[in-house]
Amino acid sequence: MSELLRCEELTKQYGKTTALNGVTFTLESGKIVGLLGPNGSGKTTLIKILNGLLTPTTGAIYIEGEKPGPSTKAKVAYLPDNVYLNTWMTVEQIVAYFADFYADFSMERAYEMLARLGISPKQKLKTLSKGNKEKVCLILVMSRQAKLYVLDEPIAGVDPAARDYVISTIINNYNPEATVLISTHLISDIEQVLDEVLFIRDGHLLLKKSVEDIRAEEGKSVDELFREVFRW
Amino acid sequence: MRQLDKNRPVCPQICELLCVDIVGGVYDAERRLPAVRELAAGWGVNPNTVQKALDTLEEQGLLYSVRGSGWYVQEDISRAREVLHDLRLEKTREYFAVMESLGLSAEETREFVKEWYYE
Amino acid sequence: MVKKLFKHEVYALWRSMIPIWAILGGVSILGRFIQLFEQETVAYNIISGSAIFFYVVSLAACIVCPFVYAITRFHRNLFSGEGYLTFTLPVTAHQHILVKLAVAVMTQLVTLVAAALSVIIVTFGDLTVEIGKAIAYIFKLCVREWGAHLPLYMVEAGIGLIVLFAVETMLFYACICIGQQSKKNRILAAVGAYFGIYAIQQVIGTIALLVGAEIDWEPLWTWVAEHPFATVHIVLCGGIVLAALVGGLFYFISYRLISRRLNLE
Repeated sequence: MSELLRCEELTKQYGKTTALNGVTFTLESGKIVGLLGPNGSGKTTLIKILNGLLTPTTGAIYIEGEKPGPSTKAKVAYLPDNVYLNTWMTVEQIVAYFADFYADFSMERAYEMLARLGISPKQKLKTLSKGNKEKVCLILVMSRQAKLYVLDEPIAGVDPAARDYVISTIINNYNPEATVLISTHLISDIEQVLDEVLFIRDGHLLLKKSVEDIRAEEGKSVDELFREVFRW
Repeated sequence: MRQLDKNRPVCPQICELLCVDIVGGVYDAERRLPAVRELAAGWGVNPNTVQKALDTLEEQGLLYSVRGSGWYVQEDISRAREVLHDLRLEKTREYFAVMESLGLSAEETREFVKEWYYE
Repeated sequence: MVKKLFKHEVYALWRSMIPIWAILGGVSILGRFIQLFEQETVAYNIISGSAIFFYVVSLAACIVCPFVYAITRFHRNLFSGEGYLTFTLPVTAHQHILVKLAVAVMTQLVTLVAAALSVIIVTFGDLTVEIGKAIAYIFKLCVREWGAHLPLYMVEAGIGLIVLFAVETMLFYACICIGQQSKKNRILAAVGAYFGIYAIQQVIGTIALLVGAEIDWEPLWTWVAEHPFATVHIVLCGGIVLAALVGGLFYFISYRLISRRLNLE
């Protein structure tokens, strides 16, 4: 169990609003971790910083000891919270694109998952249904052998069947060396898959705890604890 | 997908489920368990937790692992029967304790269950 | 990585450009074909007139399109939803900008060649020979007048053209990056940035003119009269260096904004 991710006093301000405020924590490899918080609590900001899409105002984030950059991007697989594949490319072309840029990408795995969903590789991404676009995004991310998977709201806004698909895809592609960070505000659907949870509110980290400890010590589900912590 | 109780730790629940399956003899002639990932996906739980449960059952002498091959059920399942029996005892004791707190003595609880069951 | 970026960039840009080149080629061939039926009738005049019109329009489109496509590609690939993918590739901001710039300039040059080819197609036949003769004559004249300086001039002019294309493209890239700093209406903000930079250029130009009016240029003109060839070299090379400096500034602005102040919507 080595340290994979370290956040030190991470703060991000947009003008006068503070999206993240002195967030400090570490994550080990080999865990499935839930990043839980209400909408607008700073989850996406944290994830964007981790992926080098934003620079922190102060503090730093390290992935295997390195700040976000080309070499960390090569080992972090990121699923953004919006559908970004509104391009002219076909499914086949985007798969080739990923395979070209990410050395850890397995084309075989991607095609296997696409075939199981019955998505034709020749189809244009633009013409896919919203649900299928989301699934293709997930497949692209999970076809990598990354050190860290970062999934931003993977189950928000999808129907329950798709939710099961997402969860089982995460489990089926999980490898014990990697860590999966899943941000969501829909906890009850996903809590049984998690090892650990991070509770975040108004840019502050409130709690970082093992899920089994929560159940054993508090005798309640993570969802219940979440509702308690975030009641106002 | 079997529903697990979200208020209790998942690991012991997995142990219970596996124990029942072992005693019930649901595994094939080779007595080989499905892969950890498959088990985890089937229950919708974390693979690490399944791994932990398997380790616990190995310690208790119900399973053994073969490197590079996977998990197998012990040929002799008497240990599994014992473990399952203990689990059932524990649950029963808990149940009777709860009923006592609700004002039924052990004898009354037995009658209560019988009535409810044959209704 | 750069090679792969380059490959995908060329593919993305050329899939929009190839139809444009094809249309130019088609219109050129059609224009030349119509000339085969030359006659003094109203119908022919109308047809050939519209053929010329279409040719000119597609030629103009051909000149504008590489710029427009390169700029929209830059914006879409980096700052729209696609940016989430683009900026999580294991590639540096330098590589992103430079590869985009290189492919844009390359496309502009290819389009220039395509335009030249289209002129040859339209005039194919005796006229081509005449044009060729005229060019050869001018060339001979140049060789006689400039001698060994001619190849140097040509190299300098060629580099100048490439630098000019690059600086012009970089200007638009910088404007887009500046526009992204705005909270909303980012494209409008980019247009604003363009006019802002234009205004700054005007101010600097005016100041230079005012300062220039105060200086006694007489010694310079005598020197120029004595060294005409060197003067042309200095003007060409100086222009290139100046343009490169301005382009470098635009590059620096774009790079800083992308690497430090990225904020995708």
